[in-house]
Amino acid sequence: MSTSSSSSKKIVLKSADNETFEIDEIVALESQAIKNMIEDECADNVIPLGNIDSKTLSKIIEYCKKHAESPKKDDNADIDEKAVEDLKSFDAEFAKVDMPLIQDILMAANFLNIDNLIGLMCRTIADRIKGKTPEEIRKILNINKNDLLSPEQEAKAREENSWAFD
Amino acid sequence: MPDVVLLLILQGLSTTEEIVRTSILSTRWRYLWTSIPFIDLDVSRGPKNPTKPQKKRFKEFVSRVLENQTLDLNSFRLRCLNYYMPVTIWRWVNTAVTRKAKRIDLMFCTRENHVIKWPQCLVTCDSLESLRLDLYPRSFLVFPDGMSFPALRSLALNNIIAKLDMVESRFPNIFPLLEEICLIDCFNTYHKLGEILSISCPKLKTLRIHQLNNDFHGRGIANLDLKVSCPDFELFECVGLEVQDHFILENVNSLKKAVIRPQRKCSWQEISKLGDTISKVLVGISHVEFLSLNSSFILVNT
Repeated sequence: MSTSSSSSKKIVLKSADNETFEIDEIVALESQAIKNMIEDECADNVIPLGNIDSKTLSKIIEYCKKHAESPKKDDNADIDEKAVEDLKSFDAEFAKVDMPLIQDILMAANFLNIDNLIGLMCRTIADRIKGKTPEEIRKILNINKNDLLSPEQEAKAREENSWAFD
Repeated sequence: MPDVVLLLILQGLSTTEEIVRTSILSTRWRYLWTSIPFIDLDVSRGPKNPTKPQKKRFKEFVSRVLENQTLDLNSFRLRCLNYYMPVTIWRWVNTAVTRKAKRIDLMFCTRENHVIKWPQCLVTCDSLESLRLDLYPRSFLVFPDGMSFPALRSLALNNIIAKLDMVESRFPNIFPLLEEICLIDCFNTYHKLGEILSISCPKLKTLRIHQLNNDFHGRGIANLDLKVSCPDFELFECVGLEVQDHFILENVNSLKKAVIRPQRKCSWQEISKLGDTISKVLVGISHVEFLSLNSSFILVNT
């Protein structure tokens, strides 16, 4: 049960490399996972995130801050179009990072259950593999060589849906 | 990355062709595409002048991606030019309907006398929320009796000739939840002079009637009298129509946006008459937030 107002309450997140980030509770609530922890009262003052490094975590906090500040769509039907545009261009800028970081952010967003951020990262990856050859896509997605299909399996897959590979 | 995340990435690819191409990336990706709940196929994305074997490959491909019977479909979009008989196309649609498709978007070119019988599989459909049909060249479409689409919200017909009196008499029963009607270059058969196309769907929010091409012997809804009476009406677009005397919008207090650009008239007498008709309409919708007009009926008295 919270007695202080939500805007002033602070939450501390601790990254895998032991860096701490103090943020407003309202920012942390962008994460459905943290929200559940707080609601179930199983969040201590410091929430350890043992699988997220500080570089990724600071990016995620940057995203959550921006989205927590922006008016939510369901709050008001006549939402300011400028605010929507502003958020869109923030998202576009936010996604301009290299693939390894995108994948780290995606994994962390998935762990923290931040739907919008998962969607943004997946769309970004999809845009980057669009129109690319299988070889290029494997490189972008960092697919392990041991997981490749055998030449026979690949030939069969191509044969099954030959229209798509013409 | 967990499969759900990989599936979200796959959904970011827009065409089924591209999604299926990921099946050779790795063992993990081999069958992921079969869990994508939408299908978007367009034969024109393939070779320009496909050979017979290539057309056959497309046909096999459509059948194969539709095969998965365990997963409900969100949407099925198919553009297939004039390469396949309607019976083949309706068989695919039938499969999509069996997979409880919510949205169906079809474009194909007709061959047999330009008369298309509405398919049996689309007479009643509980899951369908949106249906769009484009026919080329412009074709006759025969609606059967007993149609029922309890969930349909959006209906778009492009380039068809049909007996549109059913809009008035049967639409509210066939499509009780209909929110959007879009009629692009559609023409009305059995049109008698002075007949009014009356639209009074209880939930209708959007009505778009565009006539870009008026070459069907003046039989189009192009020169039909129109009466709209819908309490939830929000957006009205009427472009290129040869507006007649009866052009009535009533019970439209919730209308927010209106685009009224009738076809240009030649004679001064006609322009003046059109001006009178449109002026009356404008008085009734003076509350709209957005209004777009053309100058075809504006006469300046000097």
